[in-house]
Amino acid sequence: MFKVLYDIFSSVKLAIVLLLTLAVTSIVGTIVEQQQDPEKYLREYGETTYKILKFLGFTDVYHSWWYIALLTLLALNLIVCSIKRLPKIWKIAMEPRKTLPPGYEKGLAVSNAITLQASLNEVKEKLLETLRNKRYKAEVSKETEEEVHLFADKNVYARFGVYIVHLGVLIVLIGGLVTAIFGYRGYMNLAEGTSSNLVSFFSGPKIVELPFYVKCNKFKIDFYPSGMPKAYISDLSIIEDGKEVLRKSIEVNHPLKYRGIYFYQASYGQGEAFLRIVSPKGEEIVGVAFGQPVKLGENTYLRIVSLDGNTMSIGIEFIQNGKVQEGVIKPFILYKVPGTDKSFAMVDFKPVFYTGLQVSKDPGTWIVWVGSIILIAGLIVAFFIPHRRIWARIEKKGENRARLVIGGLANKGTEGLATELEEVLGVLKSSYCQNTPKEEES
Amino acid sequence: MIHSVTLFNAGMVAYFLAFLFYTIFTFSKSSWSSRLATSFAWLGVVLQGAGFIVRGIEKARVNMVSDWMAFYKYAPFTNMYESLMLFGWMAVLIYLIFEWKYKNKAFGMFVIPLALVGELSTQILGFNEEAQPLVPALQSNWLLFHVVTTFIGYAAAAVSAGVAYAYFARREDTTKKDWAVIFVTTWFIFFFIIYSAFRENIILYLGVSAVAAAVFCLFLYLIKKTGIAKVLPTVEAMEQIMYQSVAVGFVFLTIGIILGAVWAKYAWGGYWSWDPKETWSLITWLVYAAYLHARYIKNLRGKPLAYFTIVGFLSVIFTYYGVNLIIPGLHSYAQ
Ligand code: HEM
Repeated sequence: MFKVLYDIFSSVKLAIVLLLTLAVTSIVGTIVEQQQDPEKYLREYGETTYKILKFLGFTDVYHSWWYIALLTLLALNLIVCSIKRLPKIWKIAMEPRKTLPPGYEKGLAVSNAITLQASLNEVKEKLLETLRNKRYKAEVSKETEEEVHLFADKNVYARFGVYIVHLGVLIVLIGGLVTAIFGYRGYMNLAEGTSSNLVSFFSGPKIVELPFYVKCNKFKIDFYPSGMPKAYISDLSIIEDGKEVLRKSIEVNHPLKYRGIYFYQASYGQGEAFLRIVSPKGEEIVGVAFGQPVKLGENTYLRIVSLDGNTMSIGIEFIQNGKVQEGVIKPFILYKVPGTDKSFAMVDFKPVFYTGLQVSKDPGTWIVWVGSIILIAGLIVAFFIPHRRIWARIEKKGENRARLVIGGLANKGTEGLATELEEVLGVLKSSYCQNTPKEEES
Repeated sequence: MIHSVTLFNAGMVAYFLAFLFYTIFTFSKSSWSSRLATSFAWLGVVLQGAGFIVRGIEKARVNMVSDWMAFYKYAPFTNMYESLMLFGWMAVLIYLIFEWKYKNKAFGMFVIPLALVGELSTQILGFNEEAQPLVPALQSNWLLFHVVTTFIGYAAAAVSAGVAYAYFARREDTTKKDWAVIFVTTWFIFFFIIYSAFRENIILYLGVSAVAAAVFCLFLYLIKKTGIAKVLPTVEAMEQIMYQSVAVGFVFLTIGIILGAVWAKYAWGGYWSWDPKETWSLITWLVYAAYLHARYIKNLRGKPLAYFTIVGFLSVIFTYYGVNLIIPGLHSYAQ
């Protein structure tokens, strides 16, 4: 059983199947709009189709159990496959046969033989030197009176390029997981002069309270002469324990970062409402931009989402313990907040601009960047750096004559190796072939 | 100063001459035509390369930036006209590098017209060729690097697909089924290129692109039947070239996707939003990753690998043209 699983998970076939399955299923999420409100799906697809889509996870493909399962299988496949192969690759790379017994040169991708006017020792020294000049790690692997064997190689590490790539992929996947578990993305709408510490999630009615306040001092839009917007700029302050600790202007592409949380210029809008909040301790008037929640009690928030210009009544979302109720309230009427000792009323409205900030906390980002760099480095090594090995056998053919048999293998691009061998032979020939060189067919 | 559009057009003329001489060379094997072909191709690349620099300066100007050092922020690749120019330019450049490395000029006759058709389509399809100001999201330090690497990836994918098609003309055992696949896939490619310009009258353009695909198939078929395809490198060498260009393409697509993620992180607050364009670039990446592994499986060698490269390129075409047409998303305003 274990053996069967191990075999399946170490197969490259499974990798191809998984990669293609991910490719095909990913298409679904670009056809069916993702993470929309149920009403929107109902309108577009009707009851039955929506139920089927929902059941299959097609309304949120990339977070559906089966998509995550596919990714997990891919990760497992990657790990098992690498564990199985690494020892073999290690052996091939680090413990090669280092001698060149007669006849073995036929098995090499390139090989050559030549007789030189020099002693065994001279040829050996010259060859070692030449190979080292070409950045090979060269050594004498066997030496007798009659014969010397040499082994040289370079870029052994290139054999592991693929595994560096695979490691990079795994780290990126881990980064994605960390983001999915510990990160969030939401928004804040801040009218000029107001501040808040409440972030609303994009997905679902969840609201986070930041341990500090963000204040919008100013929001402005620059235009090109044609009227097209050139820049959206928000002047923000971070306020912690009542003190301003940081002030910065942000623009699209230039976010503000504080305590691992990023604030992005994302949108803007118009409308600020003023609420009178009455509690036994007294009362206060609070200004708040449309879309931005106001806290009315433990796990109890109110958000103003629209204004009816005719009746001056305001559309609200009331969020209590993660449940949302929509409704309409009339101006100046005091409403009691259920479960608290507070009441509130809408007392004024101004059509001022507010800035729309996207807020994100994403602890996986750095893991993803690290994985990406490893992935790219691995790809470059795997594709562009060849591991080359050269074997040579020098046979004594008299006091001052030696026959050199030399050849090599490369894990990619034999032409480069052939050129290098030509050059090595060229050096030897020019050193030891004052008389007519004696070449042989290889 | 000379206008960037003039330089781009001059480059196209040079490509056209290069195409003529590559064709003459393929049939006559004369060394003068060989030299002229390569020279004109390089001339075109130099002219258009200069065109991109001038374009950058023009764009910095319409964006009212006086600091010319910042011209890279106003990268000249932000509309359809500019990206098609870049696409053609990259394809020729990559081809010329291959030509230089493999000392084989047989592909010139195929690749240069592909690039030329891509670039000429901007004229026929009437894309706006004026330098335009940029909306805030596109004013990014990362954009240039993201777009350039992605386009090298796309161009390499185009080269590998071009070789894959030529591969079927070269092989002795191309079957009816293979021809059907060639027809359907080129139909898809032509349709998305043409339709992206007009965005109406689907039936008409389905017809037009079917005719274009049929002409392309006929061209390949004639090359094969008349034996002209024999000037192409051997089947094994073509498999090697396909693999090499997919490898180059894969590296650059990977870098491009990652730089896109970095840009997204700064512009939109998250490195990955599953926006359709992002998702499609991931799909393309997955297909090529599958190709790279399919090489290790014996009975997937040969034709299936050529199919993989073609499917990879279809995915590129859809990422590039299809997504903007059909699916709205963050990237669609990048046009
Ligand atoms: C997204 C995921 C993956 C990526 C990006 C990736 C990338 C690569 C790359 C670039 C190569 C080199 C190909 C070449 O030299 O032509 C490679 C080779 C390989 N991959 Fe993957 N891979 C992935 C997933 C997997 C999985 C899941 C397996 C599990 C079976 C796997 C097994 C292998 C094997 C066995 C090789 C050949 C290794 C060798 O030559 O020693 N890969 N991979």
